[in-house]
Parts: sequence; structure tokens; C-alpha cells
Amino acid sequence: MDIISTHAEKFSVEYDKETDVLYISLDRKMEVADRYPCGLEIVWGLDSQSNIIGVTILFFKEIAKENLVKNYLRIYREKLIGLIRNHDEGKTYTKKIINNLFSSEKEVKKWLDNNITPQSKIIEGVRQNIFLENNEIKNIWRIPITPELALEITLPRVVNDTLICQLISDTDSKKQINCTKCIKIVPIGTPLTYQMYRERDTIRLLQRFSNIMAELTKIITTSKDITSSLRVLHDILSIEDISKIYSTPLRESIMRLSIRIKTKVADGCISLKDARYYLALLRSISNIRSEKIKGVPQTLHEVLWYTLLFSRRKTRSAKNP
Amino acid sequence: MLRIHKISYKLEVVAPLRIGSGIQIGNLNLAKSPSSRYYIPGNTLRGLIGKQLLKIVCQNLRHGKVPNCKICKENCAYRSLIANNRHGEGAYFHFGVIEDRLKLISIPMIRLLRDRKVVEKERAPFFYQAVVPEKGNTIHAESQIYVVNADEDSIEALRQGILLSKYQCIGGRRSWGWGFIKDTKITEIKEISIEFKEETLEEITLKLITPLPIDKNYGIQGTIIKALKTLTSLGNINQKNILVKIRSPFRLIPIGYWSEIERKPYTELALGENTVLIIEGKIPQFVKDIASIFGISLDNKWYTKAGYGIAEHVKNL
Repeated sequence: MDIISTHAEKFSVEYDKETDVLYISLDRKMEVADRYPCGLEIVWGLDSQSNIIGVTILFFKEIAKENLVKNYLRIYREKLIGLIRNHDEGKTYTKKIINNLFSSEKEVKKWLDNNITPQSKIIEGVRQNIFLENNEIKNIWRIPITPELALEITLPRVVNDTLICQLISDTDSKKQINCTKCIKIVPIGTPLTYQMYRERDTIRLLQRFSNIMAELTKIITTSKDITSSLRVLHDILSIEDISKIYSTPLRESIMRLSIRIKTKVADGCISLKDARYYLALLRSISNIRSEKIKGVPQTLHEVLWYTLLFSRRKTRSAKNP
Repeated sequence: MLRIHKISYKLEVVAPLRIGSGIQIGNLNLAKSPSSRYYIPGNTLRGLIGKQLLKIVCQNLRHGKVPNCKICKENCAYRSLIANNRHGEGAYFHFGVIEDRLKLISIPMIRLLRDRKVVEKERAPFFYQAVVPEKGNTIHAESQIYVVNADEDSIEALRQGILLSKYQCIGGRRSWGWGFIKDTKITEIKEISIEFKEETLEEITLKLITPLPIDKNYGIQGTIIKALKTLTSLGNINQKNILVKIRSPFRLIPIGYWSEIERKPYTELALGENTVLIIEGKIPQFVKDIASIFGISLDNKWYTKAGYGIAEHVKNL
């Protein structure tokens, strides 16, 4: 199976002007079994197999406005250093940015009022899934709004009837009750998942790690009853021991990944603080203890997730050293 | 234990009746959406009866002054029953259920400029929507008021307030004589009690009978959880770990009210009627009874105790 798969998808989109609510669902004529409210503004619709098939966004105009302002602020910040030197140019640029912001806001409002009100409309969009070990770890919907803008929705994972948001951690979610990170309005040309294709080698490498670790865990679990194997299990204290038992590429691959992280720090793509955290994660893999052996695939999932984030950080801060 | 008096009453209203949605689009002043069931909101009935109650009990009004509960320190029946917006105290006004089959009509109007006696340009003609019965000219509505831990004097004052609303007008465009109340009747006054038992349920399924207003600062889940915590606190239970799921049908609708003080309409978001809520967590059993009388709504809001968020317990979906 492909690690990243992109498909065309039809979405049924409806906007209720009176309540400022946007209803989006996959156009597959499936019935929503349950709905889970998330944060202040989003309600996810699930089918009987706990797959997300719809989303309702409350106060959509406000969210769209907030998103557009954030987009323009980001562009503005990138240009800010140059503009400080030239006052007049800066003034003109600021004016241009504000005008663009207003015109984009008008376009979004026009789309809402004229295209998808009062009846629902079928819009052709894109769905992108990212897999690891046949598990879907990320699912993104992108629906074109105007010729220039698209609505991007990052879906949470559903595990045992619980929504797991991948954009913020559990502790942060309590603080950020009004989080709308999964809803974005992006320029239509932006590559999905933020240039993740560039990172596909790293992802494949990680998938290989994950496969190796899964197999290793499987072998150890199945041979639990054999005394000799148990002895081996207790003897595993470090990554070197695992390499000896199974194969060497694991150690080599982890080393490669740490070099990659260090290079990214040198390039200024990720902060030193973040890099320390990722290296600590890798170190935790290399200092595995026998009782933690089952946690390795999860750790690798985490590493993969942060690797995906690297590219997003790069797009934001590459031009702003 | 809560001691509750249930007062059932009936209103006979002469058509047209305007139950506005509070939104003006173009020059068409819309009434309630024709797709949903017609009802008289609890806050409209509270305003109607509350005003009559004020006439009976307010000392300031008797002396020709403007009543102002914020300044007045007297503990009258109006303050304890109507002006009090806290759960577990005072009167709960339920929605007025309309028994007749109604239809929506648009009434064309023009506006004259008083100085020149000519029709005002661009605003003529404009339309007001209103509801009229399909047969006859009278609309019959039935409703209830639940009064919590009240003494006999308060009940009597409220009874007088209901009877005094005869020959008053209800709804929008009252000054034009729309919504004239031909007759009022008190059909029943009975006492009921709710016991706060400690028995809990792992899951409760509630079906909304009236719209549940959503507070923008709390979101859907936050509003329901906060409202449920307020209701369980009446039985001195500190409710924790509640999870809310929503079953179909699911639709968000606007609810509106007219602020008499600010002279302008307000619109808020609400979960529509017939929405099924599945509430997980150790929920006390008395929540089932309380939700059908008090409603799932937040404290100290205009919609508190006005019949919003009334839900009934559903066993099998």
C-alpha cells in the first residue's frame, strides 16, 4: 500500500446563512450514526463503522476570517525584515496586504451566500490519506472555495469511540478549548500535507523501522514460553542487543535519522529545543529496556509524526532565519 | 427533595399571531420558519404573564414610578418568580403548544411620510409575515408553568397574573392589535415532587423537545456539560467526566428574542428539536425528571427557565 494516497472525492456542502453553520459530508449517501462535538466550533459525524464521514463547522465566517488574517500575517511577517529598511515600500505593501485580505474575505462570503445557500451543493475536492503499517495516521480533505482558495480539514483519528486529535496534545487540548487548527483556508496551489513528498524517503525509512520492530515484537511474544527466549528477552538492554538478535540496519537507520535532525537544526528548519526532543526520542529507542519493548512501534509513530511536522515548519520558517 | 407546583393554562388568541424569528431579510419581516412546528416561546409567555404580575405586586408602579428590579430592594413575587434567572428557584415557563393547524401569510404594508403624506420610497410595499389558523380565526395554545419551592401567596399571584393576561396582546406587532388574547383559562394546579436519589446510570439518552441554546463561549459539548452540572448540583452532586454524543437528526437553528430594554432583536444558535443526546458518565437518575421540567440550559441567560432545552428520556431508539 502507498504511504501517501490522494483521491478525488465528492463532498456535499451546505451553508446555513441564518445560523452561520457549514455542513460538509462525503457524498456517499451514508447515514451518520453518531456525532462528536469537538472544541467550540466543530462537530464530527461518524458512520456505523466509526469512520468520519461529515463535519459541521459553527461560526464559519468567523473561522474563515481568522484563518485569512493568519495567512496574511504570516506572509507579512516573512517580508517584514526587508520592509523595515524601506518605509515607503512597507507602507504600500501593508496596504496591498490589507486590500487582498478584504477581497479574499468577500470572495469567501460570496461563495457561502451564493453557491452553497440555501441548498447543498456537490463539490469535487481531494482526500489524502497517510498510512503507516496499514494504519491511517492522517486524513485530509480539501474542498475548493474560490479559484484561489481552498478549505482544508484535517480529520482526527477515531479509536474506541474516542476522537484523538493529532494537531494538539491532550494537555494542550484542555487549555485550547477553542482550537480550530484542523480547519484551514489555504491558497489552492499549496501542496497537500505541506511538501511531504520531499520527506518520503524518511517516511519509508521509518516504515521499515516500524516493520522490523513489529516483527521483532511478534517473535518475542510468540516465543514467550520458551525459557531460552525469555533469557534473551531479559538480556535486551540496548539497541545493540536487538541488532545482534535480529539485524543491523535498525541501528544504522536510527543513526541516519539523528544525522538528519542535526542537519535540519543547522539549516534553521527546526528549533534547537525541538531537535533536542526528537533526539531524546531516538535515544529512548536506542536505550530500550525489555519491559518497554512493546512501546517501540508507538514511539516510532511519534517520531514519524514529528518528521511530518518538520516539513511544515520548514515552509513557515525557511525564509525567516 | 424539590416541591414543584404545576400550573396548566390555556390561551385563546385572535389571529393574526406573529411569532417572529427576529431576523429581517430585505423588506420581508419573517415569522418562524414554516418547516418547524409552531409554538409560542416560553420567554414570550413569561413576558406576558410577568408584566401582569408586576402590575399586581410592584409598589413602584402603584406610585407611578418606572419599575426597576435592579434598584428596588423589596423581595416581591415578581423578583422571586420571574426576574430570578437561577436554576432551582422561581417559575419555569414552558413553550405554548399550538393545537390548531396554522398557515403562514404575508401581509403587505406601506409607510406614509407624516409631513408630506406620501408613500415612503424604497420601503413600499413591505411585508410582515404572521400565522393564521387554517379554520376559523382563533388560535388555541396550551402551556404549563412549574414553580419551585413556592409559598401559597406566590402561586396565587401567578394565578392572578395568568388570568389578567386576558385582553392583552402577545407576540410581535402588539400595538397594532395582533395576537389579541380573547380568553385565558387555568385548567389545573397540582403539586409534584422530585426526590434526589443517589442511584446513577452509566448512560442517559435524551431527546430534545424544544431547542437547546448553545453558548458561543462553551460550544455544544461545553454548554450541555455545564448545564447538566448545574442541574445535578441541585441534588448536591458534583458531576464529573461527562461525554456527549449526538444522534441524528442534527440541525442547528436560530432562536431569537426581542430585548425590551435595548429595543432590538437578538439571535442565538440552538440545537434543533428532536435531536437525540447520549450522555455518558455516572449520571444521577433524577436528571431524567429534571431535564423534562427545568430543561438543559445555562444559568443567568435570557433563555434560562423559558422552556428551552426541555428533553425527555428515551429508552430505545
